[in-house]
Amino acid sequence: MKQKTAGLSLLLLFIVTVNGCKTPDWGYRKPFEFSSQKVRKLNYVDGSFRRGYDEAKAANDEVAAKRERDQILSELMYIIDAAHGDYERAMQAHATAFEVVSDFALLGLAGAGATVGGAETKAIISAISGGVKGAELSVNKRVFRDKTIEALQAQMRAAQTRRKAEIIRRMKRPTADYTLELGLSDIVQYYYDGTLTRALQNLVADAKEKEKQAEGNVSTNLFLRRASAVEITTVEHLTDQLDALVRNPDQTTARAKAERILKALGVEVQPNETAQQLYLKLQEQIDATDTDRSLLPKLSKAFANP
Amino acid sequence: MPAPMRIDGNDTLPDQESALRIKEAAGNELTALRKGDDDAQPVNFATFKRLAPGSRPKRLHLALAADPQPPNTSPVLSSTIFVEGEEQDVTAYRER
Repeated sequence: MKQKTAGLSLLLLFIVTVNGCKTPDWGYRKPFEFSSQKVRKLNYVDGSFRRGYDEAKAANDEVAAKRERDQILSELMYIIDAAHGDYERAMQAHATAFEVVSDFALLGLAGAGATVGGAETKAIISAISGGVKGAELSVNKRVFRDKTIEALQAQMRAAQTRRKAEIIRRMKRPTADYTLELGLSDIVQYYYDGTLTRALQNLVADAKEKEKQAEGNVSTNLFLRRASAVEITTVEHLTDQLDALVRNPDQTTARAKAERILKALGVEVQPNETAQQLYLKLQEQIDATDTDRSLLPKLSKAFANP
Repeated sequence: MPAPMRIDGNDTLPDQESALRIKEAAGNELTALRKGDDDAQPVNFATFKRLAPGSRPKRLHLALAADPQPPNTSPVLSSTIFVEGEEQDVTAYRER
C-alpha cells in the first residue's frame, strides 16, 4: 500500500514538474486531420475554387450558383475553424502576460479604463495601462487570475459564433443579393473575429454596449410572444375596465370594486392602500398577461364578477 | 428605464406586431425597437414605457419601410430588425 502511494506521489510530482502551473492539454485522437488539404473539396491556392460559381452565373443557373457559393463559404468556415482550434491550443501553450500586454499597448488602450465599461473591464484596462507603463505587471494575475487567455478565447468564439450565424442566414438569400464576393468578404471578417487583436477590440466595444444596457437587463430574457386578435381585444377590454374604475366619480365604490377584483385574483390588499395603489396593482396583473396568457380567463372572470 | 423585451426575429411582421400590440393593450407604449446583436439566434428588443393605469396607446402598425404608410396613421419610429430571420428596415405607425 505504502509503495503504491509513494509511486502515485512520484507520478504526480513528475506531472507537476513537467507541466509547471499550466493546465495540461491531454488531447485525444482526431477522427481525421482537420487541417489537411486532402479533406477539402476545393483548391483555394488559385482562383479555381470559384470556377463552378462563375460558370453557373454566366449560364444564369441560380440553383447551381447558390449551391457553389454555399459550398465555398461553408468549406472556408470549416478551414478557419480547423486552423483556429490549433491556434487556440498554441495560445494556451505559449502565451505570456507580456504578449497580452503588448497587444493592448498596440491598440492604444492605456487610459481608456476611465472612460468605458463595467467594473471588470475597467479593471482589465486599468491594469493593462498600468502594465504597459510599468512593463512588469502581470495582467494574468491581477485581472484574470491566470485566465486571460481563456477569457480572450471566449470572446473570439462568441464573435465567430455570431458571424457564422449571420453568414448562414445570408446564405438563404439568392446570389444576386448575396454574391460570392460579399460572402468572401464575410469570411474575411469571420477570420479576423478569431484573432487576438479583434478579441481585444470587441472586449472594449462590448463593455460599452453592456454598460448602455446594464439597467434592468435581467428581464431582457422575457419573450413577448405573438398574440391572437381575441387575446389583444381581451387585454384592451380589461384595460378599458380599469380605466372606467379610474374615471369613476364615485371613487369609494371604484376602490371597493378594485379591492374585490384583486382579492379574487389572490393579490394581497392592505386596508390603508389608496385607490391609486390598487389600480397600479390591477395594471400589473393585466400586464403580466404579456408573458402568461393563461391569466386572461382568470382576469376576465374577476373583472366581470368581483 | 424599463428593460427591453425580446421578440423572436424568426416571426413574421404581423406576428411581431401582435406581440407589440398585446403589450401596448396592457397600458404600455412602445418607445424603441431594435435588432439584437448578442445572440446566435435572430432576436429583436422592444422597450416600452408604462402609462397611467387604465390608459393605452392608439393602435400600432408595423410595416416594411418600402411599403406604403397605412391610412390615418403617423410614423413613430423606424428601425432595422429581424423579420423571418432576415434584417429588414421597418417603420412603426400609430393611428391618429
